[in-house]
Amino acid sequence: MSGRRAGLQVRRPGTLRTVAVLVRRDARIALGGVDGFASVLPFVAAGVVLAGLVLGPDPAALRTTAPGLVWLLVLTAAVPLARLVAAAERDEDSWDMLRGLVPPGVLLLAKAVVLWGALAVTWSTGTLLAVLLLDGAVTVAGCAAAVLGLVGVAASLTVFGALLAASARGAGLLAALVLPAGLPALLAGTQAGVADEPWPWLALLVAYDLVAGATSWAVFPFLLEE
Amino acid sequence: MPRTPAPGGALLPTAAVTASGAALVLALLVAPEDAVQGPAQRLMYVHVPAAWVAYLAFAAVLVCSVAYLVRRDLRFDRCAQAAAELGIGLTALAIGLGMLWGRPVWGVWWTWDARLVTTTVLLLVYVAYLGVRRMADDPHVAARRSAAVGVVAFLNVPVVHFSVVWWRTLHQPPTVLGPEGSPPIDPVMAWALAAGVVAFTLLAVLVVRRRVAGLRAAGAEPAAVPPAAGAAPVITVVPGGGR
Amino acid sequence: MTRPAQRRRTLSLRLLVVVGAVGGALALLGVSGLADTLVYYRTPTELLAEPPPEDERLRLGGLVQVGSLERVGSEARFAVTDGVATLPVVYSGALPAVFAEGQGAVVEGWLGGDGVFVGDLVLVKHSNEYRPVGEAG
Repeated sequence: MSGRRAGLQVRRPGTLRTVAVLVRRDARIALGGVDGFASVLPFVAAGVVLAGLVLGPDPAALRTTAPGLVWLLVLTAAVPLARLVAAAERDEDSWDMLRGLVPPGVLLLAKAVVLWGALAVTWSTGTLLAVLLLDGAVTVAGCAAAVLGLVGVAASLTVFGALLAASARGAGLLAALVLPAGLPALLAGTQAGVADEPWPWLALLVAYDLVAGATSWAVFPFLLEE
Repeated sequence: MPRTPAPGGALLPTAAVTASGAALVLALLVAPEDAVQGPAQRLMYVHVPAAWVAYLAFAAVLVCSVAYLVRRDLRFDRCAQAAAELGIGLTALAIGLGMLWGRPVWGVWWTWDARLVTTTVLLLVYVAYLGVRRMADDPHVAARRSAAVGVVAFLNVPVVHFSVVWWRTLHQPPTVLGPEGSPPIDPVMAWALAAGVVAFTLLAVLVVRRRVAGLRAAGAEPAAVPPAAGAAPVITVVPGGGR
Repeated sequence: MTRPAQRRRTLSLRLLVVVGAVGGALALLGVSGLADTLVYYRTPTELLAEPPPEDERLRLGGLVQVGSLERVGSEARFAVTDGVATLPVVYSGALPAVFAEGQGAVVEGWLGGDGVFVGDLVLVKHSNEYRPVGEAG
């Protein structure tokens, strides 16, 4: 296995090149495609506006709930974003070819990078809206928690996205898997932004990234063989 | 179910019934009443075994999932499904019994405590796992995907177990599986608890074996495995998985 | 890639990495001081060191101080201690049957400006010790 991969790497473009090509292609889908920001960002905006309506008008209540609300919206938005894992390939009908060409680890890396970017944009949009509409606050620790927490979410989401890449069924099931898998990010991401002492929460997020990354890497190849 | 060898087939049910009877007598009659909690504490003899054997069942899902990924034998997949179903049932039972125990002792049915929340999440994750199993029509595709999810899902088990150690919770820290050397429990109570665990484990093996036989009969894999070969590994895999 | 022996080797490497990552995560959580962050209740020492805003609803936990419990009508007054600091509590309502002096309790409510904790829900926190009647721990 390792020999085969080493042999392939001599003839093929470098890992970074492959990742860059894949990321560029998927980023275009995220920016312009129906599975990308076109559906997710309006959803997050609607979530923040409706939360202001039902949780208001007490500004203190809005301020308290804002960070957790943003994370909950990001995790919910992650469910449709998981379609990005194979969106470009579905359009071109090239998923089978791609997983034959690119080693699983490289594919996982590329797809997770795209999802991380998409999730980061979603979180930033949600946070910006929460600051504008719900009187929320942005802290350095909160942003660091988003950077760290979304790594683990993106890794798990890539696995779940690949799980559904070849099947039209089970979109609702994805939500049942993604929300629990994102629980550490939801909890620690929310708390790190508001706690006096953010370090333990950031440490929890690093631990989460470590476990989610390693597990995703371990099971991802099995989801690619069809 | 259909053609299990007679002596081994009768041994397990007998042992399970005996252990259950012994556990019942020990828990209800022999074990002394708890000084602080009174009779409600006797729920421990079913609540704790249910939770432990649920962990064991999820460990069996993990082992069977890995075994499937190595061997690509649907026998392991059926085993994983049966263990997951049992684990879900036992987790729900542990939550239900915990609520019954919590109402008289804590004073509430439910509270937003780390142990309670993580256990419920564990339950939901395995319900979703059963959903993944039904996503593909090809049994091998379904088995491979669910095996991947079965490995990932097990990460929740240590979180549930350590939730009361890591964080300050209302739920008490572990008594027997705790970090300290000598468990702070009366010896007779400990024996009653041990009998409960043995009874639950034997009953669990019995249930899983039956379910696996049923799944094999329902599965579309005629004559791939000789009928008698299916039952034996199940017995060895399930208890061996968690220890 | 299709032979079981080869698959087993690949898989055991992958499992080893996962086990290593979980071990690393556990070690990291062990040294991170996470235990002080996700708390179901706060102790009297913590509440006295960092008084919360007056309208913040919170949980106070500790042992019910021996000899502090008095019932006046439907109102109960007792003190919750963590061995270092003690806070007086006022609670109106029925106390759980297991509630007793010297036992653990968690009270939900507000810390008043006069330093008295006004509770509206009392939960009994029992320890992980199980002893028969008549045998002191």
